[in-house]
Amino acid sequence: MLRRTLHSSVAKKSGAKVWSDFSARSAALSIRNDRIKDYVLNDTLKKSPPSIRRRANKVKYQSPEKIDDVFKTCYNFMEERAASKYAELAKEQDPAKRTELAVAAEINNPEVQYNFQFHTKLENDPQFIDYQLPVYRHLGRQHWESYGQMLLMQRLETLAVIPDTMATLVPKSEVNIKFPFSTGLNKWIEPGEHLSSNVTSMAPAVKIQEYEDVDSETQLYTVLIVNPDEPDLRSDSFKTTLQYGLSNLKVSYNDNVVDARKFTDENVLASYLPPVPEKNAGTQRFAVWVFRQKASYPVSQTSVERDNFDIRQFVNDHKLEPVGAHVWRSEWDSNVSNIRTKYGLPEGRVFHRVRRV
Amino acid sequence: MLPVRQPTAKRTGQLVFQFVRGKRTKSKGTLAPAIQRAVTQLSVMSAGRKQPKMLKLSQEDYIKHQTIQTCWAMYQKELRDKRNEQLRLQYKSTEAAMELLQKLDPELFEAANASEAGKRFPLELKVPTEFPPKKIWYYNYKVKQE
Amino acid sequence: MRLHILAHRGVASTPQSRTIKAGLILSRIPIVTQDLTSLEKQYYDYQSELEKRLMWTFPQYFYYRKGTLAEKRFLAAQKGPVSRQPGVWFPKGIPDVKHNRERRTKQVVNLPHSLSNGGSSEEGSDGDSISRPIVPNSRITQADKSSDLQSLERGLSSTLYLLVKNNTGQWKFPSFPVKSSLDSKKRPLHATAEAGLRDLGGPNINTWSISNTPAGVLNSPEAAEFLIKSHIISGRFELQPNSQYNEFAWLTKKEIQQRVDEAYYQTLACLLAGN
Repeated sequence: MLRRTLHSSVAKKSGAKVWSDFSARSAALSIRNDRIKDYVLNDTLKKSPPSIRRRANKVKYQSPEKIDDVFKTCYNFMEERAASKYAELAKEQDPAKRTELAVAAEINNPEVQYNFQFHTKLENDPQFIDYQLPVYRHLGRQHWESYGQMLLMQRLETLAVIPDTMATLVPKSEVNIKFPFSTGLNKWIEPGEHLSSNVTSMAPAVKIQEYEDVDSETQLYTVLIVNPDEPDLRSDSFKTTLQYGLSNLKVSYNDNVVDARKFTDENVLASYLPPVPEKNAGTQRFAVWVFRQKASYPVSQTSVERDNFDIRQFVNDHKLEPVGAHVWRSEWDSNVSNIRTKYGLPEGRVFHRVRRV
Repeated sequence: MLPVRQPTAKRTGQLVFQFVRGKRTKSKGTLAPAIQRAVTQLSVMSAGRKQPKMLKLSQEDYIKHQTIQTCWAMYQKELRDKRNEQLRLQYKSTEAAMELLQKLDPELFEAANASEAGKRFPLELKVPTEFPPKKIWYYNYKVKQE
Repeated sequence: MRLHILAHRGVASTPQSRTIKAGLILSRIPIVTQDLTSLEKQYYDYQSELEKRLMWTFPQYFYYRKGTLAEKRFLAAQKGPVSRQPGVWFPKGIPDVKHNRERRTKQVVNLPHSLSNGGSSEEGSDGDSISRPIVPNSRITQADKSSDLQSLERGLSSTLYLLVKNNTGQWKFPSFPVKSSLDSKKRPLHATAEAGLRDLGGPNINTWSISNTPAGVLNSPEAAEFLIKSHIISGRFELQPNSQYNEFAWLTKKEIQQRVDEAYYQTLACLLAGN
């Protein structure tokens, strides 16, 4: 049996109040609302929680008894541990270890936890969730891995996007897509969703959220949207077509939605071709692939064959590293012909059960 | 029992027409009295009536609770690590002692390494309690004379 | 004195050149539980409050038969909940009473006071009554107050170790040289230690050696002292006259650190319980 001492010798040395000192720390590590901050960090006695809006509920609410005393002790306990982490951080040189320590120093901070848990994570406001800070990236990654990443991989595998387009994917960054609001669907698309041709009539915005340590100043990205389900009658099979291609894109941790405002013609490998599935051709998959580039490559000197696009060859040629993916599905509907006329596409074929020569 | 209950039923039958505010006007039910009793018994015994209301914490208190639980886990881990470290040192210490003993005196080493199968933990050793007993220590132990 | 505990492999010595001694770490295990730190105390309080809040309604009908005097007394001791009234505004929310319990808060169950408590009865008659109030003994004893280091009733919440002071004024764990017994066979270490303890402190000690195996070694060029761990169960340690030691004390780990020299303590620290 050991003597149980609350204050270890390590913690005693650094008694600084690291979590309340914002001279060197980002303001996003603190709760913005003063009343909430006061309620969390100080006594709850004779106060009601500010997060409860209705007056009747406010009056009814009772905090658990004796939570304040123990919280204060726990806060000091963890702040002391965090102080020792910050002391280590000051001496550490290795960038990977530095990130680890920066996460460890802040992850137990109740203010950070409050900010992360009760603010929107996908469309984050850097005031609350600043993905430039390692701790929020760590939390964001945990959140993504707990559901979004698993869902994506399941959809990619069950819809056989892997291996029909790329061989496999080690997911590293979160990719989300959203079509312009004018098409009528104002939400982030869940992987594998069926979308009408009207919704997909305009180019989607792609959000590339990095959780790893990357140099956002120099790191470039390529986005490809391919359709591996285009019927190819000559070979009695299917071929892959390139619907959309962007390259040499730059994103940052917080500002990472790639839409028309973010790139110029110099980034466009292949302009957006909306999904126009032909009648009776069945459901078609549209796979969005996001790659990290090893180096920049000029679009003007890159030739891509839209029809019969070989994505694996392209990736090999340009030394791209797949980091994220997404997928949606489309089918022929009555609106397809409108889209075809809008984009000046030829009239689509109509397939029958029996092939007519 | 039954003859007593009979007139009560009759009386309520008569009172149906007299309207009293707050009084139950719907007849208790069409169940037979024995079944009704069983139903009442079961509802009294049911878990739902004995359970407290669900504990709902506000966002702020939830964060506080999480902080407390994390802190406790951290504290327990520190204790555990300390304990494991001490056990490791004790093991090394014993190992070193035995190695030295083997070098210095193989005979004593054999004796120290002898099997202790059948050795019992003494019943007189007590688990620590929150408060001491009336007689804290038994001083008058006398060794048995054989 | 230079001590080595681990660096013994390289020591060049013949087996005969060093005397072998059996040291004894005799401990008295704690009698009461450890004192709680402030974090532990507050955490347990908080958890018990949560538990009370989530506790099911006290099944009073199980303990008190309906219509009995005991039930009446029990009910009289309870502070009933505020029940719901039509047309009344309740600032703290509409009461939700089931089985005479407000379900939104913890239930406070008051036990009825015994008759003797209410009346003016003497303490003499109270002594045997089963309903007399429970008064726990103090965790701090007379020996603690008088700082009697030789008493086994001191420091109830910590492990105490027997230390002895030799003629040069050094505090040490007692140690005894290994002797051959009559039939020229050497006595094992633990037997030497136990016999030595009885020679030193009188025969009326009940001890239990944890193992035949030594727990550690104090290694010096002249002697190797192998430490045997043992617990005292009962009896009294009384230093016998004309022994090599002139004082003894029962000390906790912290007190040992204050009394012995640093190198000696460092080799032994891992063998001693922290509380």
